Amino acid sequence: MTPGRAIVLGAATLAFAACAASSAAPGRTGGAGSGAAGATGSGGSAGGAPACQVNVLPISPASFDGLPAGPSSVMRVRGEVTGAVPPLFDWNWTVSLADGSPVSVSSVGRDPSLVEFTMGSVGTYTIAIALTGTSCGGLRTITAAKPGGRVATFELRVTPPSTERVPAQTLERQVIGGTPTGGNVLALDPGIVVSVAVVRAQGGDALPSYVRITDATSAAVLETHTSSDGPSTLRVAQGMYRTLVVPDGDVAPLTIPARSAAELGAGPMPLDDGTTIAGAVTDESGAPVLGATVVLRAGELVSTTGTTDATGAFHLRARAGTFGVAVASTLAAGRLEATLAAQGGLGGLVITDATPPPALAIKLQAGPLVTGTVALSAKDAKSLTTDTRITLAALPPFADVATLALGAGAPRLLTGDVRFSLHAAADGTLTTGGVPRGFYSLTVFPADADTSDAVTTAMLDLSAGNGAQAVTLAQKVMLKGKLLPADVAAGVRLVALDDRGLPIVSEGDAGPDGLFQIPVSPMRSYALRALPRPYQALARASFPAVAVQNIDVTVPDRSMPAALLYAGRVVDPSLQGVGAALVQAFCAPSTAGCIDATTPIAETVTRSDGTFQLMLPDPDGTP
Amino acid sequence: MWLPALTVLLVCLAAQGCILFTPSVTSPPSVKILPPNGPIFRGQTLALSADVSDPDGGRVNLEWTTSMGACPQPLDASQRPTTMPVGGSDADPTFSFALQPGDPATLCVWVLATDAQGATAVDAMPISSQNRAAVATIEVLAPTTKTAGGLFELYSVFHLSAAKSHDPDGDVVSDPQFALVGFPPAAMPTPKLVPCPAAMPSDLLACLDVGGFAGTYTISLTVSDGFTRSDAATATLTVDDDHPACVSGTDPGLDASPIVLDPSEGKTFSVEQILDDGAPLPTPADGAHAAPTFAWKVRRNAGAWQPIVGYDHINAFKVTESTYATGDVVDVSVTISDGVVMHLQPACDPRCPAGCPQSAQWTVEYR
Repeated sequence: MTPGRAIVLGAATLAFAACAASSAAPGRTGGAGSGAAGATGSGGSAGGAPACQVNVLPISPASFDGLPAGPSSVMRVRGEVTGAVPPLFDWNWTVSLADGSPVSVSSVGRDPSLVEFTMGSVGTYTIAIALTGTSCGGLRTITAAKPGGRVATFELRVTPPSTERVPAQTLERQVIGGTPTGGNVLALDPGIVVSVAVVRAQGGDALPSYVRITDATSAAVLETHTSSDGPSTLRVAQGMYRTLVVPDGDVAPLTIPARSAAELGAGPMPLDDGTTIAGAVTDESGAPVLGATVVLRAGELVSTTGTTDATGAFHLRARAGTFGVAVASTLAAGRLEATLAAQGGLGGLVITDATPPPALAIKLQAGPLVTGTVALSAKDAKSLTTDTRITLAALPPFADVATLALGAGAPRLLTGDVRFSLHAAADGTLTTGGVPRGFYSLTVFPADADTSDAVTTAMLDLSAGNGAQAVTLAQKVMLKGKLLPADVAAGVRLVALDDRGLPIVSEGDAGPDGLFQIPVSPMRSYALRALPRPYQALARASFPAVAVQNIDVTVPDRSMPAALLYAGRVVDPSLQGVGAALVQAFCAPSTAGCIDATTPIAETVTRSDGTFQLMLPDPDGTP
Repeated sequence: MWLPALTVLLVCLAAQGCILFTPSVTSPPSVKILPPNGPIFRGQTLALSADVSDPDGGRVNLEWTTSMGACPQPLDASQRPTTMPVGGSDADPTFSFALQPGDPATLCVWVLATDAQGATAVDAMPISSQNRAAVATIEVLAPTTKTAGGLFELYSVFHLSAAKSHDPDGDVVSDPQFALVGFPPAAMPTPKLVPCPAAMPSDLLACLDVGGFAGTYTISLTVSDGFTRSDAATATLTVDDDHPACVSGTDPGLDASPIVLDPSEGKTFSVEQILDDGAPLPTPADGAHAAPTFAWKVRRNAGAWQPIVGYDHINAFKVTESTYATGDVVDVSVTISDGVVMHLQPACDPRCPAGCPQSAQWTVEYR
């Protein structure tokens, strides 16, 4: 703490660099204002003068940017009082590091507005000035970085609690290797309240709808479902947003190109019913197919869902566009889905507002259905129960599984797929029900994750007719490795996730020697994530995917990133702390080494005053 | 002792007879220190008064002094200390002095009365001061927040301070001794008061980590004033029972259902926030909470639910693209747990959404 005395007689803004040193007694500044404006008086400001505050200005170095830490790194700063300057005050300087430890401050000469301090260690230095005897003060946080430290960019996603009238938003922040920082303020944009209402164009009745608003830049999605009671309210940050509206009833969905947040809530979205498209679905013999669903798709824009009746007829509604067609017929345990791409060789289905399209004639020609039976066996009885999940998919997709004819036009061929969700019987037997002839991929997810039985994928050959097959669940193998530094990484939890997004997860903890082994299902590829315990000074890490065959696999040693403290405060537009806000950090996709930009590498909730601490990966490497 | 009699001097002149007159005769003043009212305590400022009179009717000056220890018996005026006297008079026969905390328990207050003629009188009174014990006070520095019911949350780490203890006599309070005299019988291992890490000054602080054990903890504290130990102060810290956890934040929001997806789209469902004394999510950086668990399940077209195994510790579940087909309606559900089988406290955290949801469910319509 470095006190100094100051007397300010003028009411004008004082730049102490210009006047203080020459006119002040030691430790006390006597100010006559600046130049000719230095009218004397009893202090206080002229009516209407802005509130007093002190700005902290860099003197040497001349900028607060790029400051290095070190024993010879001396920062000299000056306090500049602005606004309604009080008549008499003391300068009270304090400088502290992010953990609150004080930093010695020295006066420079006889000018109490000028001080310097050494930034011996890396971190955040908070410079606080209080003009004692007044409510006037100033605050500035600067960072002294590790010389030569690498810079990494993180995206901080802040989701305030629903009680806050501030939208979730993403802010980009940089950290410098080896340099913890504190005092970081995440000031939230007030955003714009968007009243989402969908109404019928005729009559203006509320039209309950699924509404998806997609940030055109970040692709972040906000979803809501409007009700008949009134509009839904969303609060969005400034930006451009695409909108998808899918009404609940027989009204064609609508997409709206990107528009500003202000335009989003400009008023209710009136929708007409859209263009009606009719058609019929038959089988190879021309018999109507009951319960088939037909949907048109053009990117994000879809039609309503047409469902065939007993005559095979359906109708749906759509907006103008060039659509692909999806037809799904119900099979015993799933659906056979035939699709025509919107931009396929024969082109998609063009719908305009002006001319109603001809009826769609869809003929399913999947051929006679066959049934496969599978005798499942597992080492552990807990793996095969009625809770065992089984999926079945065509391998490869069926060609020419259906045709689509438009009026007198030539039929277009549709490719098909089978998507089944099956359950095994209590005795472990499985029946596919009727499916088209072909080859299928059968995947069995054991009902208990803790057995040695693995998620097993087998090929089911039904190309020649009904077939029977026995499938024994594979045994898990070990995914082994070592985390470095071994002594620090002990206890880190490793999670292996199926790299293709299937719900296959295994876990294991690093031992005292940093070694880990995770039982995983073979013949798959796994993304590896390392999750330190809360007490460890390590950051979460994602490692490159590992392909696992039928034998144990040992991955190269992996280094855990040291954690770097990033402490800050989330404030709302009125600078009040926002408590209970979720703060998630993601690596920026543009940053080298960012393997997974969608999984938070650190997350926490803010305290009631908005403060938070995140442990981010140190760009400068290992602990 | 002067006799209160007049000496009569008769001067007789033979021729003119006798003239009777009263010669100038001085009687000494009298002074008596009045006993103080009530007990006298160390460190107290004491006001004594004296009963002063002078038979001659003149002004009487007083001179108050003190000496260590008891007064001499019988009173010996020659032992009266003369240094640093405090003056007074019969007009204001009071003497105020502070019994310093370090003063001995007994001292002797002297008063010397001197009348206008220089006649004197002396009195003395022994003053015995009593020591009052320090008063121990326990202050709970942390946690600073309580539940809506005014109880402390489970997993609290208490920071207890003796700094507000004081001594009414002004003595320096020292040697605080905290003791945990009561705790819930189920708490295992036995909870202990420990020095607070990195606390300064550490000798005035004690820390207690109650972990996951609800109930009443009783802390006692005694301090010393250098002479005696204080009575024990006690603080009762009631830690709330474990509340059920609730889901307080999801992505997508639950009000978005039914969500419309293309079968070729994947979709991740996540529980972003859980409010719970025992297992909040995310785990606060400064907390030592148990992690919540998640039970995920899916069902297709209102069929049987299928559990997603292996996701017990994962707060997000992705429905992979191309898993379902056009026309499918898929429900995704997650139920959270804080690991407590039976919550003695059935009410959720008051910040929880209405109904204290412990599960979340989304519906996806594929088209």
